[in-house]
Amino acid sequence: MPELTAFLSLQQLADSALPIGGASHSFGLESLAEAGLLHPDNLERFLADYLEETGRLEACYCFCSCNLSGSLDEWFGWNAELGARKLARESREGSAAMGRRFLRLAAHVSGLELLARAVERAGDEVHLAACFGLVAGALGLDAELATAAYLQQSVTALVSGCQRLMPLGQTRAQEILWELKPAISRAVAEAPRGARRVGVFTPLLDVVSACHPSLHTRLFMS
Amino acid sequence: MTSSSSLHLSFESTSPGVTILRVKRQQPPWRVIRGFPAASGELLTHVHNLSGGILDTDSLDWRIDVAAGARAQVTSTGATRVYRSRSAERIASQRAVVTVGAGAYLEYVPDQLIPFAGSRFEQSARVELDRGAALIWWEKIAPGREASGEVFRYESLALSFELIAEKEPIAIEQWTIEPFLRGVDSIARLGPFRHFASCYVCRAGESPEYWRAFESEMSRVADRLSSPEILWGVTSLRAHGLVIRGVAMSGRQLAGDLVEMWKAAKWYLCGRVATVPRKVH
Repeated sequence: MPELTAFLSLQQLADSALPIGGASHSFGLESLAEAGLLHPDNLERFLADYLEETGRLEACYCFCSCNLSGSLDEWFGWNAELGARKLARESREGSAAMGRRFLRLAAHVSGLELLARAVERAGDEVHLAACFGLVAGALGLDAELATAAYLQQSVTALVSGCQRLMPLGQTRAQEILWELKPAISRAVAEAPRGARRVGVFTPLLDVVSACHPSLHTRLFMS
Repeated sequence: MTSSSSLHLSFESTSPGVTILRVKRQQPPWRVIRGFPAASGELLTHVHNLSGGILDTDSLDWRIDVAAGARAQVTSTGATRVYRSRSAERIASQRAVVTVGAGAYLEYVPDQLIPFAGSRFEQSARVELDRGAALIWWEKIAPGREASGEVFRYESLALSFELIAEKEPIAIEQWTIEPFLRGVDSIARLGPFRHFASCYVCRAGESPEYWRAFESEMSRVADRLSSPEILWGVTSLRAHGLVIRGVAMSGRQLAGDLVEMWKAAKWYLCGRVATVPRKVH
């Protein structure tokens, strides 16, 4: 695929408005906001630390999926592993639902045979980070670039969700996204180390994510 | 100089409802005296660490095999204290490998882990469940010796926990806390809380519907116990189990509530009453 076309494909797939259900999930942020623990004043630090924990892990799976040299069996094994590392059910199911939709959409628009084979088995658990990497690799995109784009769209979706959860203006939202670039770069830089060497310490987020089903009023599915 | 040590316990069922303990290997500082029949049907075993804590040169291994049909409850005799590390190269470690056979049951309910100021510690556990094997496994982590004003003053604490059921990974917890490098008080990590606990409740082979119903039941207990000082959450794993997690301001409250969660979970899981292990010193 010519370089410019590949870049444009990446831009399209990394759009947080891609119709894969991203706007339906807060991945625990709704519960944090509801508990009064997350607000506009600490959102930037929260997201930087989130990228250092969950972001780093997802970056690893996105990166290695982009560089997949083995079989799809190996890739499905990574998805199972990532699912096991996502302890909170709603967040795990959200990531899986978005992964399936993303894979189907990308397979449909690209017509790539590898993606079509993956879709055939998408009854197995797949996750968005790994799907994004697989698709980017199939399109011949650079793994670092693809991983950075994945994280960028992830935090963009979270910030967009926060604009519905708390008094966060558009300008401040863009400022936060701007300031998070170094944190995204750091997470991408560590991705080649491999997921087995990356730890995630987010006990509070895990607990409040598990509490999400019992919130009285919910804007999001996770 | 590293001080290596290993412990190997094997629980076997000699006849229905009867479990015996075979201590296949034990090296200091590990010490196991014998098993005690618990009222709830498990064989209760206390694992003693005779050195009183984990030293920075310790490299400790333990293995527990619970054979098909056997029932075991394993606990410690007191908090696991991790002593100060004298240099960056001295990282104490403890590794566990656990297998639970078909229809067997294991409860691992130790006291809390207390990393002292300046300590460096790595703990790993891999638990494998055969079909029909059941497990309750908890960990409680303190921020340090709070009474001495030591709160998150350790150098590093790393934990790796892998739970495998019928050859499939169902939960992988892997983290490193380095309080001087990354703020533990971030909302992305512990926020205003200091203590945290995880309790895995599993039985290989149960359906997703069973775990969703179990999750709903336990979530009611979690809601009842949660307050601004302590938060509990319950969530189904990708298969074969659920995890109960708590974060708290106070270790005492976390420990008390964890027992409440355990009692409710054990009753739902196997219809037996949870008996708090009696400490024998």
